[in-house]
Amino acid sequence: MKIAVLIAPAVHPVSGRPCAGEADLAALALAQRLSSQVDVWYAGAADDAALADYLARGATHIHTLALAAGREVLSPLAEALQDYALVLCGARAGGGDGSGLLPYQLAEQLGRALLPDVLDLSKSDQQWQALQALPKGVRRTLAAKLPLVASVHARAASAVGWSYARLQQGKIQRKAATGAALPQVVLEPARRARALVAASKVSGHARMQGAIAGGEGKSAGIVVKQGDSVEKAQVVLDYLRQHQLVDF
Amino acid sequence: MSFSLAHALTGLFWLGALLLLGGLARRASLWQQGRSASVSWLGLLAMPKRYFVDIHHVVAREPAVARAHVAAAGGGVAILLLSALNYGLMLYQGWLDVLLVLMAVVMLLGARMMQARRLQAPPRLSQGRWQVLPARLRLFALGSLLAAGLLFAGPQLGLAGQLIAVVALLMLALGGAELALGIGLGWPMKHAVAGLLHLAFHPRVERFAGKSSDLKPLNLAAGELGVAKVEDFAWNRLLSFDACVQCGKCEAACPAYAAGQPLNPKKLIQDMVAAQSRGTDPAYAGNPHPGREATVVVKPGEDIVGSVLAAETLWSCTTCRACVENCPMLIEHVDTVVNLRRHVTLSRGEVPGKGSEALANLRNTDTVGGYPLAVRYHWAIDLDLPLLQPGEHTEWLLLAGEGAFDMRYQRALRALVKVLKAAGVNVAVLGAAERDCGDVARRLGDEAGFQRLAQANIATLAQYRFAHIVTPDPHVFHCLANEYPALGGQFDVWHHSKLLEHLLARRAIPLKADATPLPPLTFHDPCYLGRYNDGFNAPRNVLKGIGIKVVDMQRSGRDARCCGWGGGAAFTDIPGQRRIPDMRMDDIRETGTGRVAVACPNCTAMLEGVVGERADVIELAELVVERLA
Amino acid sequence: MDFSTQAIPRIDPRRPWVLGPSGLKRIVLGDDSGSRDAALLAHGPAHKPLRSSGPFSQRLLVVAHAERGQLDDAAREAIAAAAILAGKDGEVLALLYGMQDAAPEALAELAVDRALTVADPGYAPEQKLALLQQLLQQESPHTVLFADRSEDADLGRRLACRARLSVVTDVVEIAADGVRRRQPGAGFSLRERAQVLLLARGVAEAKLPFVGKGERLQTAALPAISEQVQDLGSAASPASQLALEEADLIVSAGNGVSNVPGFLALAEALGAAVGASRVAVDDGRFSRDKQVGATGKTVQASAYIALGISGAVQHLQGIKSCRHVIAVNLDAAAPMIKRADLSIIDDCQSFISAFEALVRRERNLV
Repeated sequence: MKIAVLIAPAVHPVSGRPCAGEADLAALALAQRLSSQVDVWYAGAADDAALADYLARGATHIHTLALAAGREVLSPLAEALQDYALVLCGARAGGGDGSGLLPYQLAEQLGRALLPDVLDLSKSDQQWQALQALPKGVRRTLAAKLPLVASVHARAASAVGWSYARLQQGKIQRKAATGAALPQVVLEPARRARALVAASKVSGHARMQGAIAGGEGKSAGIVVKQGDSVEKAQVVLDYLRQHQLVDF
Repeated sequence: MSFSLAHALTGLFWLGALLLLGGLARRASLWQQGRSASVSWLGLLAMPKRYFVDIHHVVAREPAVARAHVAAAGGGVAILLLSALNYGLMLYQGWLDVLLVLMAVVMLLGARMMQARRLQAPPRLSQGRWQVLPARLRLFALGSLLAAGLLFAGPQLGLAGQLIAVVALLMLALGGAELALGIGLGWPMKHAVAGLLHLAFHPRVERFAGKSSDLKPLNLAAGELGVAKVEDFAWNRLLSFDACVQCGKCEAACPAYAAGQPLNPKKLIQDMVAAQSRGTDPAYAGNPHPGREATVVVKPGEDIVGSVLAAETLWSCTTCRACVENCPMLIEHVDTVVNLRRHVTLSRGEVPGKGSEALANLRNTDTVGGYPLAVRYHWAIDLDLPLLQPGEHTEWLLLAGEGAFDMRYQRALRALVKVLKAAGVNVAVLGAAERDCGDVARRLGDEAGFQRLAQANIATLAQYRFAHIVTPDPHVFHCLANEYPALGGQFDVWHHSKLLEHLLARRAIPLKADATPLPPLTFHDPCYLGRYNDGFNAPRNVLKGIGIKVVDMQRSGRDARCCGWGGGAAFTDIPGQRRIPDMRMDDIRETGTGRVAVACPNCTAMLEGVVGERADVIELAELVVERLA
Repeated sequence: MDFSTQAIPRIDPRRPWVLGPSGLKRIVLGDDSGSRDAALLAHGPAHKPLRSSGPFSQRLLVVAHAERGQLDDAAREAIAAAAILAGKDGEVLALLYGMQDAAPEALAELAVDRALTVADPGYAPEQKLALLQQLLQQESPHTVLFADRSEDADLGRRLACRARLSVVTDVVEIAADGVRRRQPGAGFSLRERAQVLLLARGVAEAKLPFVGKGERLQTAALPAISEQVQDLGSAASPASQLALEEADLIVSAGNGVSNVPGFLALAEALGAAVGASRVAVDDGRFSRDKQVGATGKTVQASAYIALGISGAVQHLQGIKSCRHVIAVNLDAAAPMIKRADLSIIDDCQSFISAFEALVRRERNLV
């Protein structure tokens, strides 16, 4: 079965250089585990060097829909991907907008079901089963029929290690494409974001009280020295229950 | 009677010579599996000097063994040469027989000494055929003695003489087989032939003309990606493995082996021998890689790593060069380790532990730890350290290296800058333009990453005007001084210990006048300053210059034990029985000084990372700054 | 000396203290337990005013999923953002999954004016979307807010794509000139305020000085629409099998833990992932992949129980994003005690066996 994997360069958080996105790599690795026919797709304005990491980490061939910067990639991608029964992409790209919207838009555009945050995919009978990652280690099993779009969790699978030889052998094939212009965004340097705070009419004394005693993480820890081990164990359990850290 | 014995000896000699030549041809066909290498036939002429000077230099560190070897090998070679003359060329001269008898006595003595040593063999020595070799050599010497003696005084002995002749011939045949068949069948005496040829065609021939510890660049454009299979080694590398005498000095010196990590350098070389001989050599009879089986299964055509050699063995090496330094056969273990790593990294991309993360950081941020380049000199914000601008000139350019991101090591860097300022040294830094030198990338096998960084650094440095570079990081020092030249970067690079020594000698550093004696301490030699660059004296002179007595550890200088960081070993972090820095801390503890001076950011981090009671770890510059007036 | 027999009541200067926001130690008067439980210190439930009594001319909708009947901080912040943005004539409308049992006071306390509470059916995006679109049609809120994490993030994206509404994700700041979102590698980007906003943590201060009306809409059932994707159920994966980075509850052993089987039994009883300090790993008591710290793994658990770990700097680096740290150690001066939110000065071995017995009893595992 042919699987399409969508990738996009991520922006390195420290240097700002293009690199591979974790979730996209996981999608690539998961696809390669599922099928030997994996087509890797990219749409956008990035140059070949920005995609190099994917070649070095196991994509032998990348189909690129070359678009000018600031163009929407959805319609050219949807057109290119409609013949694939299974389309995988990272849950979130680490670059571009990194909004995590593309899998949803793509599923909507292609009229397919979306399996979000997938950790694993497997075929059983006529259906495909997906293991969805939920917070705190909860796993949900979903089942659906093809065709599907799945957004892959960064921890789903690990791609092969970065290899210079694979980078040299990898190919990038470019095809010109067009998309509608996106609205310009205004970029600003990062700073501390200002939170919305409700105007308070509480007295100064009460606010002071709150600042001293209330608030999580502001106060120093409680130290328990008295009592035997059994009593101390009870203290810990009470603490865990009070903060809903255990469910018994 | 004597007539027939002489002819029998002639026959035996030529039979042996033929067997030896045939064996050599067979072995040479194994070496021919390797890639071609540019070697000079003049190396054959240089062989005697390399044997008597370079090898002797190493062997003489163990005088008893050296004496035994001189007697056994010297006597043996003399017997062979005299036999060639007297019997081979059928001269049958009585005085040559007398000489032969004398040489046979010398060889007998040598073999006897070796046999005595074998009775209480240290565990590093291989057993098996090596254990019986001295007895065989004695047999050969005794046979020679009897035969030559008989030829000289034979006619009088009659029937007894005939009996002795038969016995002598039998002894010669048995003992001589060891010599004649060794090279062909991979028996111990292989080392004599292969060892001599190795001297002539050494893959790192520069080491006979001076220090040579740089890794050689790969021609990436030509598709060189390190060694996957035996055929990817240069032929003279394969030859070098056959020179190994399995003496185990590398094993005894290896910090990874001592820590119980799965690396025994001797076994590593023997694994290579097994791979190239496709397992036809006698089975290895020495210590295995710790925690592993000794036997290897050679599957011809398969990659070396993953078949005869486990990847963990490869990644345990700290590239400290203790093995190379101690090898009497001048085998280059570190080159082999890195050549194999290059394949695993460049072709397979399988770097274990945090090694792949370090390489990714280097690719993405040009720092090992993934730091922003702009923060490298934040520790110097209040030190009035000039930022060198393109076109401006400074006498000394300071490269702080990766240690600049470590809060602990920043103290040492601040101390260094203060000392240099106090000494009136004109020093400046590159700031955000400084990238990692590529040391970690190269030792982890990422030659492509190293060359990218090196070329970028060389291009950057070309934009600035400076007379010398000074760095407190021996790894930066080694890379720039020894490895950048091959890529077109020629710089005058100094380790800070040398600059401090220089300044102290010129009395340029204003020191406190009071003569309060300072407590003694011990000094930990960084591998990349010491063994790699012979920088043993400068740091000790600095300590002496500020009035501190150095109590050396048992393993110091050339024999110093690695801290465990080098070669990316701190990143690949292969588990063993113990940690290398813990063992080094034990060495330090033994001196009873309670303090250790270091001269490398990585040694600092490794030794300070020792858990529990430990000695104070103080950087050289920190000790100097305390003595500033 | 017995303080109670003294004529003048005295304060023991060595009493447990509180670290104020300025870093000064404080002893709270009238509090002799030494515990600084916020509930004990507050002057009872304060009476908060109503945010706005209406009439409302426009409204915002917040959609949130509750876990075990409780909204988490991210969801509270989303509601707070709506309440702050609503203004005098704006109403805060909430669609809450899994809070059908919540009392009106609880809803009011959240600053919700009107809430539609629906039982959470699990994975049912089509039904949830249909209900949401129905609600949009009825109430026509000008903005729909979601917390940008897990289920809420998923539903918000689905809504924006299905109903073709303008959307901004990862909103970190809502200001007069628009909304700012974090742009990968490029700081902030300023956008016009969209119809759907997915909020990152910290957009609004969840603590509000007012309450909402807390009315409940007629509880509606989810429309019966067939789902393309079937939910086959979910399960919490056993903590011992979880990657440490993902685990929510970790028990971690250091040098002070000598009885490893006992420790592992506690972890199993508690359903916690197992971590270890470098010393314990180097000793061979635990495998390398269990190591927590700068040279090992960086963990983000809600609760991290450090048993017999003194707390080297490198170890503390690895747990810096853990919400609750509980330390058990014999040495009260260990750095880990300073970091911990709750510290028990006790011998690890006896504590572990006591704690394991307690947990087994409470979970009826025996």
